[in-house]
Amino acid sequence: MTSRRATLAALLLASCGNGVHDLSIASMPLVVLRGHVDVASLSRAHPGAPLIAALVWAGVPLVSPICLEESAPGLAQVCPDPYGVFLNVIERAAPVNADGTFELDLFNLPKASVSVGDAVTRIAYGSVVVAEDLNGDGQLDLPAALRGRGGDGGGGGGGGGGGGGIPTAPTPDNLVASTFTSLHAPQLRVVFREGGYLAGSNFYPAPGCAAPPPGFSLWSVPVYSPTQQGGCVASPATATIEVPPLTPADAFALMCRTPQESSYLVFQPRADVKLPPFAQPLCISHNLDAELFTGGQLSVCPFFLPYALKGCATDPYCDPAQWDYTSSPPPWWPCP
Amino acid sequence: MLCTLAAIAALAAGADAAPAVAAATEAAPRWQLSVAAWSARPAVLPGLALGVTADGVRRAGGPTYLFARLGYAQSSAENVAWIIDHHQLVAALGGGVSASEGVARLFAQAGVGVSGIYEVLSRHQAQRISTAGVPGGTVTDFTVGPYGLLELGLALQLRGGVSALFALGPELTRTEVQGGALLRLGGSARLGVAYDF
Repeated sequence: MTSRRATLAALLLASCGNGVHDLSIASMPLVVLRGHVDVASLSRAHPGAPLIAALVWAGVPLVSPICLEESAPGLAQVCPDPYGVFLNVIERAAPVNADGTFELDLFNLPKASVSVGDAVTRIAYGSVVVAEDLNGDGQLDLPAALRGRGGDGGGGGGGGGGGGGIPTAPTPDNLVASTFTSLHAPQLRVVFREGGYLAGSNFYPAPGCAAPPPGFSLWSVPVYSPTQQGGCVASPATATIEVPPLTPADAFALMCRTPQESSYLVFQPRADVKLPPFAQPLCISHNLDAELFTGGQLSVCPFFLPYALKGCATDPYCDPAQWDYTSSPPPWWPCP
Repeated sequence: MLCTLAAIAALAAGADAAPAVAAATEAAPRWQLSVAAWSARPAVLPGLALGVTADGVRRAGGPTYLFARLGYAQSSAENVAWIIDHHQLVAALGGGVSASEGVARLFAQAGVGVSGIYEVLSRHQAQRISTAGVPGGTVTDFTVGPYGLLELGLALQLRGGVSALFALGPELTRTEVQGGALLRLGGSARLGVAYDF
């Protein structure tokens, strides 16, 4: 009888089932991306720095119309390749193990800012990149996030403002590998698709390819050609991602291709404009002066600020113009 | 709440005394069914659980009685990653004693039973996740554990066999939470109607 009572008491006090949760429940990833990089094949400027992997969603390419319309020789060093991938939102970063493997836990869906489409059809493309974490913070630092922070010392070797007064940009992490770099190269894209698929979209087009599956997936896309006839291969997001190495030139170009709304801005050449001494004027025409910044001040990535005697805030070729200084250019105007 | 109780008391005070004396000479009703709105401290989450109870009472003779209860309450909470919805079902058996004075009946009861919690864990943007075909937007779990209650209550006879009741007291639950057991003591309150027959 005693043992029966004890058993009954134990049954009454026991709980069964899987158990529920309280507010201390942690987040669980929606999907885990697993990747590998051949560490020995990387071109490394800082072999002692730890490697980190990251998923970066690509943004809509924003290229100044001046880069597309003009062919002045000096513009090539400051204009991004419009067929390149423009890295935008860093979703997740994780350390690379000694054997080159890594895992990226994705807890969120891509932001609306990197999902292109309409209310019922959106798609986002991402690149898995590997970089030398120069400041060792475990996060991926790209120039777009560091622009404007010149003179604050940065991390690995940027130096400070010092006593010379010339600001030096903080040093971003050094990209060494990427799966989705340019439409002119084979691509492995991380894809997130919601709703339908717009085959005719010019957002990193893949002509002739069937739609990638809904949700998260990996999409192997061949080199872009307007007459391309498919050739894309979709695979589950759980497949292992092999990240190919980048040449230093390709890595620098990729790092510097970040969509900036300021790419479209055109400035009025007012008399009170004071350009820094390290700006290099490039006269594209009498009407158009591109001030080049290629020396690493303000940003490690070269860029330019266009001034137009006659133009609009985002278009130097507009008609009618929002301003017109052609009859009285400012004293500093360099273009004859 | 106070206005409701005052209205119920006014109705009870208006009841005719003669029918009450006549009812006392008849055989006392042996059964009672009641439903009540129920608020209590949730078994796991913070805040308040709201629901309903249904009781069946059988008088055992004299002031004592037995009762059986079924109850349902719902509570919700969220953190940065999840929205947690708990649907609690309780079933209990117990007994009590009561004392009547005029149209008022005071009762005290205790019961034990089981508490089952059905949990729905939803990520924020669960609908967007589901629409995109990504698994894991919503996860469900279930657990059962012991349950105990003590109550002190007041019932006021209204008309015929109908009475209004109000009760409150502590509750004790033991729930499996994230690999461990959570023993929670909380309070509960009920406001409802009963029918004796």
